[in-house]
Amino acid sequence: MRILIIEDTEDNRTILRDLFESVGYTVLEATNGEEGIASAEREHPDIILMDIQLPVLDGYEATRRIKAIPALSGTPIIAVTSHALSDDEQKARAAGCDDYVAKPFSPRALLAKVQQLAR
Amino acid sequence: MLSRLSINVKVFVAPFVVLVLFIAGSVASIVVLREQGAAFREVVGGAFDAATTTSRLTIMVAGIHSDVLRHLDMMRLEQDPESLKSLRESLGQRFDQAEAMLQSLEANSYSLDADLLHDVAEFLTIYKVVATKIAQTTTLNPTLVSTLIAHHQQLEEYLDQLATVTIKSAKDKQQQTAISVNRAMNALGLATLAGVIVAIVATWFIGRAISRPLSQMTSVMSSLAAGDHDIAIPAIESRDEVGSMARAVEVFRQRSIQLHRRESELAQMVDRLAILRDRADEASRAKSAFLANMSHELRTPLNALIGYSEMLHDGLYGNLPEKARNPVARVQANAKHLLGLINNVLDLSKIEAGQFTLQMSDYSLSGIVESVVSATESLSQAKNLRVTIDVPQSLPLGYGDEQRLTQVLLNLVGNAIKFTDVGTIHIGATASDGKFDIVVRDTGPGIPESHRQSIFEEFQQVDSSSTRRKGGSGLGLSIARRIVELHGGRMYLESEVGRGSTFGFVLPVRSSPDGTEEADRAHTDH
Repeated sequence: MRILIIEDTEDNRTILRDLFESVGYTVLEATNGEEGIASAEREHPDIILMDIQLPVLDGYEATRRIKAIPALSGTPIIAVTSHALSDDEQKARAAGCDDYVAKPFSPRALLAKVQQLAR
Repeated sequence: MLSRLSINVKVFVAPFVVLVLFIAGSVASIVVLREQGAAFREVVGGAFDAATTTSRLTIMVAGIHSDVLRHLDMMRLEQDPESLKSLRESLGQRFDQAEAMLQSLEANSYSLDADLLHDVAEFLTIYKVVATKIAQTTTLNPTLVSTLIAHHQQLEEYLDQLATVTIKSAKDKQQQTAISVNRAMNALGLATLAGVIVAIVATWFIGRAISRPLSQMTSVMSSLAAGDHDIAIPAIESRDEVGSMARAVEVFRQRSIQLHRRESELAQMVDRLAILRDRADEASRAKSAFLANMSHELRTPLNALIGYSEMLHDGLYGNLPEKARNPVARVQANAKHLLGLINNVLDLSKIEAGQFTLQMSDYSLSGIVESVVSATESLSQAKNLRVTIDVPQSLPLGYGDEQRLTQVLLNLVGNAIKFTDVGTIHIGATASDGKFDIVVRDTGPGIPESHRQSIFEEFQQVDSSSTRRKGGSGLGLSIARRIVELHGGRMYLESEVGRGSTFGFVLPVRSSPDGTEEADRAHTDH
């Protein structure tokens, strides 16, 4: 199972990498929206974790562009946001995200959600 | 000068002037009439008297002369000595009468020609002497007779002249009187006309003196009423009624100016307040933005704390030494507590900024109760508290923000567990009249009467010592109350110190999103 983590904070990338590597996933990493799109096109991951507040290109726009690529339109994308406003989930779903996790997340709960979606 | 008089005086003056003019006219008429009367009397008593007397004198002289001539004729015929005797007897008396007439002419105030009168008197005297002599003799003396005739002729001539003079004089006088009467009448007519003109002019001036200041005052008041305060008020120095009115109007004007000034001050103040309000709104928005931003910034490290500690706890990085397990669990619990506090602060700032919107959907109240009970199970078990639930399955579906209502119940149940050391936590729900009534009852220390109101306000706990003992920001209950109110409901509290507390809230089964939207707009509009 190959998972693409698009996240600009190093600590969060480390947590996610440690978490998914602990269950045997191959973890791919990108630190901004553009890099993430390029990596997704190149690597065709099985699932994508998308931070929303990203430099260069934000998570909503990156999600829209990835979902617009025919080969990637079926790849599940989970939005991870630390936006505290209540319409974040709606905006994420409107952009094409398949699920939504609010920061700070419980690694345990996130793992369960990813495993369910990747099945 | 006229303007200084009071209206009372002016009103009195106009008819008074007319009255005075009338009296003056009457007096003048009387004087003229008296003058004319005197002139008339003079004509009648003087000139006409003189003319009449002259005529009578002439007739008298003619009578005497004819008697003397008749006597001479009888003497020639040597007849009737008897009649001669009666002539002699009456002649003296008749001459006396003639002389008296002459004297009265001389005495007439109306002076006649003195020479003529003198001549008449002289010839009358001579004629008298000759006539008397003839009457005393019985023989004809031709010299005497011719003298008599000659003197008589002369006397007659003089009398004729006198008559002419006196008649002419009387006619002159009459003419003069007629002219003088005409003149007096003209003068009276002119005086009357002048009086009428003076009366009209005086009345007009007085009327104007009354009405002009009044109409000026009226226009001043109209101007003031129209809002022109710069207008000068006339007659303010005047001591009459208009002056008093002007001073009253001046007071009115000053008040009006003051009022106007206050109005503009008020308007300025309103503008300033609007600016201050806008600034405050801006500050409030900045604060909200700051809080949202801070919340995000705080969550990022918190995410690392929670993530790492959970993975440590779960053995992702290898098995933890027994001694390290509890500290790692404490790190995790504290990180979650910190998250709860941050969420509360954020919620409150959103409520205050009017950005707190409800996500309306159908919800199951028993589902909410279930999830709250399972979320707090570990806490209640840790304190050995019994939890009883009385929520009928028959409750209707509610309509509202499920997540936020869960937050409310979680807060109440969390508080109940936190403040209760021994006993039972009871959760109950009923529905009636389209309203849910949800209660959370505990057997805790209870809340004193004095604190029951303030406990729903921000940053309040029963006392600061309990805050230290039990923890908590004092925001949870206040946020819960706001959420219930946004649903169109209300929160309540029943408590008995030493026995326990019951926190409850009543809210419409189907909350109106309109109501919540309206509450939001009311916030955002300011």
